[in-house]
Amino acid sequence: MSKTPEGSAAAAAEAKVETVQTPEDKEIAAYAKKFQENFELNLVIPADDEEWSNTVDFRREGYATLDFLTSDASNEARFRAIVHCGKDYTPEEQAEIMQRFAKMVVLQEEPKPGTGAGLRLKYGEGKKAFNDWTDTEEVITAENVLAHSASPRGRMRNTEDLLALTVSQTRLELEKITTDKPVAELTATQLAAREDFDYRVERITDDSPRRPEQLKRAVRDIEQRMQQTIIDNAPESVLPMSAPEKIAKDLEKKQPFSERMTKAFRDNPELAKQAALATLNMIGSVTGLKGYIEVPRYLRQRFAVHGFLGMGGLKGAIEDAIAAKQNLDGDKSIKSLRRDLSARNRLEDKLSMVREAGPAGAKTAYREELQKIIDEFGVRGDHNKKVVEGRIKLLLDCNTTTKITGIQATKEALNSFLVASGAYGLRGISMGALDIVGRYRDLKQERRNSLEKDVSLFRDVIAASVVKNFRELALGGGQESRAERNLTRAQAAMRIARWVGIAATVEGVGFGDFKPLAGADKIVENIGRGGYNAGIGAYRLLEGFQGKMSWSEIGDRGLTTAGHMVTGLGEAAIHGAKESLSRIAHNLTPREHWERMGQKLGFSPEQTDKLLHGAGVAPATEVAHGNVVEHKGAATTTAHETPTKAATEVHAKSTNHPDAIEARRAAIQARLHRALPETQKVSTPEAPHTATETPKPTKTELPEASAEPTAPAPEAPKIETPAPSVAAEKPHTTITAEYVGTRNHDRASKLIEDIKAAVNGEKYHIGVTDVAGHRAEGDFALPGRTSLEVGDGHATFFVDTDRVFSGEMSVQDDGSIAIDVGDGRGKQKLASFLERFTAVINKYRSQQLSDDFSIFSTEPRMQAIDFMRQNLLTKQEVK
Amino acid sequence: MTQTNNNQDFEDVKRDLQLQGRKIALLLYESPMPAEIKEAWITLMPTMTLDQIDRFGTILENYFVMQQTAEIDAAYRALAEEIAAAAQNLELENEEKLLEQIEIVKKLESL
Repeated sequence: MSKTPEGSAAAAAEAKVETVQTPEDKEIAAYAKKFQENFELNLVIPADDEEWSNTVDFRREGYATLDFLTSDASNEARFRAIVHCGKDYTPEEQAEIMQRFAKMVVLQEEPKPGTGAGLRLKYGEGKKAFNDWTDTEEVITAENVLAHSASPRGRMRNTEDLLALTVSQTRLELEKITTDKPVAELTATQLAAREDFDYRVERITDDSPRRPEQLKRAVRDIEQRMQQTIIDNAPESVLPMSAPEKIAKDLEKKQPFSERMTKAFRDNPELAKQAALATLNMIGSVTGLKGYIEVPRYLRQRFAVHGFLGMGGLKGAIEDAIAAKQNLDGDKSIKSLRRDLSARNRLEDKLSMVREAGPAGAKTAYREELQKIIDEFGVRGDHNKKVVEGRIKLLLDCNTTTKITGIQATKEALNSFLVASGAYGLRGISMGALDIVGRYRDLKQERRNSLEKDVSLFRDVIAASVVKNFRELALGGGQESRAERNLTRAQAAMRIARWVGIAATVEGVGFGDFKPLAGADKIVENIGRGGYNAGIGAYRLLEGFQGKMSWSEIGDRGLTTAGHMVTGLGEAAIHGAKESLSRIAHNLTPREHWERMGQKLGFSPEQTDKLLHGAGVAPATEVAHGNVVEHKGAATTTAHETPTKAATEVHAKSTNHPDAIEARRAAIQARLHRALPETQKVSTPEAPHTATETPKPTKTELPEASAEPTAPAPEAPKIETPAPSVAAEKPHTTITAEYVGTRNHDRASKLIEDIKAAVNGEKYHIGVTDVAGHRAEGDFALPGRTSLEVGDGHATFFVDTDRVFSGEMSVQDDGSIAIDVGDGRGKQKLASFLERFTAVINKYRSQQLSDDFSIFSTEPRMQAIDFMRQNLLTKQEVK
Repeated sequence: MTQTNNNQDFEDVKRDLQLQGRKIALLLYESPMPAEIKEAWITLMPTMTLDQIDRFGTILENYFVMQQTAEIDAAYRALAEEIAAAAQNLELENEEKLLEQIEIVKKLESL
């Protein structure tokens, strides 16, 4: 990265234009004067971690940028000049301005050996932009640039300071317009502009890694708004109506509240999205807590911390678990949350204040309250998320410690029994057989004796001891004749030999070579069906035991005993964690929850689907259709699966019983029902359906919004979703596109698998056809937190909010889409994905669309994604 | 003297190995396998390598302690279900509060 000469910045910024004498210099000086008088110049030193490509974010109407790369043997710096030329200049004139400016800052000096300078010019907008590097032999130093940055308003700042300054200036200009007037006299546009600006700035936290980009966006948006609605004093009638205005208009129409509420959410996706994400965050966090994959890691971490220090034995561990449960029930944060009823009082106060504010104030207050309610809902959701996360972490912690303690107690009891039953030393118990042999091998090596025979001997020692002791334990005096025992033993041995032999050969379980015994298959076949099943059972038992061992995790033989305990514990605890978390995920099925939420907000199932798509959640209709929800490492369940009888009995008296929760849910629905006008109350929907009985939806069928409660309250009539809009009548489809170019079917299939493995969340459908006509297809999806920022002629992906995985997608002159993810850490993965995605889009565009991506508005993210969804993803059905 | 030490070491090792055999025998006896399968394992034992025997003993021990500590898992699962239900109630409380506030704001529109 380049160095930044910050030390000389302040003094140099005040420097004046040097006096020049030559005719050419006079011309330059004259132009410099004109430049000073007419243009605002800011010089920016990009942050070290800022890429040159970010320059594009500065391009907006009336502005031109000039990037410098100065270099000499001792100093190298980058500068970015942002010149506000105004709208009176054409792009060609802007080019001339910038070229002249460039000439001003280039000194006519001899370049030093081995150095050079690059001059980069950028001006204009979008496709008209001129963007080129011009090599020059002239040396441009930081001092030179600063000395010639003579604009009276010129500043030498880093990007963030400049943006902060711009934010302040913009705010001041807004306040000039708005603060001197009573709120009631402000136009809705002015008020909305000020509120929107404040809201955007407040949301940009200091610790946000993308703060510069967010600030830029906020400044750009608010300046656009000012330009359109305030500075130009354009009549409101010709301006595009903003979402808050729509809400205000809706209020004036005196529609029923529920309709207005629904429309407000529908017309203002941001509000709906906030409401959606607030709850989603909690659920997503619970169901995805650490992820199933991370649970073992978590357990290992906790295990490493706690080690084998658990005390109190099995009984004490259970008591600790109960104590932990009581602590959970007495969580102070929950009590404080429940006590937080002040919001209602605050709203009542607000109501009385609104009465005095008049109609204009009422509109403002309505919007404010609506926003606050959504915000508070999100804050509470976040708090709940933390509470639940804390509980689960505590539970995992507690269980780990308890399990370790229990295992330790059990092993100690076992060893104590063995020690007490014979004159044995504890050392022999704590070691494995191989460790004992290893110890003996060391002794032997010291004496340079052979080992193999001894190892075989040791095996015989163990086997003989097993036989002797097992006889004592199991057979006692012997109830069977010797011949009977031998026959039973031989039959069982054959079964095991057969299945273990198969396992060793086919599946490579590595449990030894039993092939010599496998030759007795004919004997095994004579055992009959019962013997056959017993053999299967033996194999499965062995297989199950094998599954509990992860030999590679045990590592050093010196840790064999501890490693065995760790391995055994890990498997059991992981199994328990998976099972329990699976149940949590099942109980908190986000899609089911979303159906209810969508109902409450008056969304149709299709609209709820779209909302969930926007939030990166699989559509609710999948649950309504009874699709199977599968959790990794856990039993497959359906979304409507009822709790088991045992579980019902365990919690029959608990307020947390599913029936109690359903009753409470029904009561909420009833309250909502009472709050709605009569026109919104409709008949009870159809009877609940099961996963296996649910028919597949057709284009004209509306999916069932949610499953019926198992014990619905009689006073809780159901609320049918509103009639679908024209847009909602479009069938929910996923994109189908061809990706031709793979060379063989195997690669095509692998491509599908790669895409499926790389992404998750929103589903798309992709087909890959190889040159021979073989086809592979499958669903794939964008990552859940992928965002798409679209500007004029370019689009940028951000994956997982991490700029490491970002790339720029731009529309070329020939209409194709180019992806540039640059160089950097981990971008190959995104590049691979984007290449495939671009191929899909290109192919689809060639078939379906004639216009280019400039149709994407400058408003990023949701609008662009919505556009894709509505115009790309719903025009073609899944084959 | 060296020969004496050698013999003593060997006897110690042999004794420990016999203890391992006794341990495996006990664990095998306590395992839920059918009796004839237990017999079969004993029969196969002389043909198994030392590594196999060692792993088999470890498997039996892990299985044994998991069985003995199953009560802990049951208690854990019950707690997890409690947490899940409590989380669901928290979620409903939040929604109830949202509804309450929306109902209040509804009054604003009548002004």
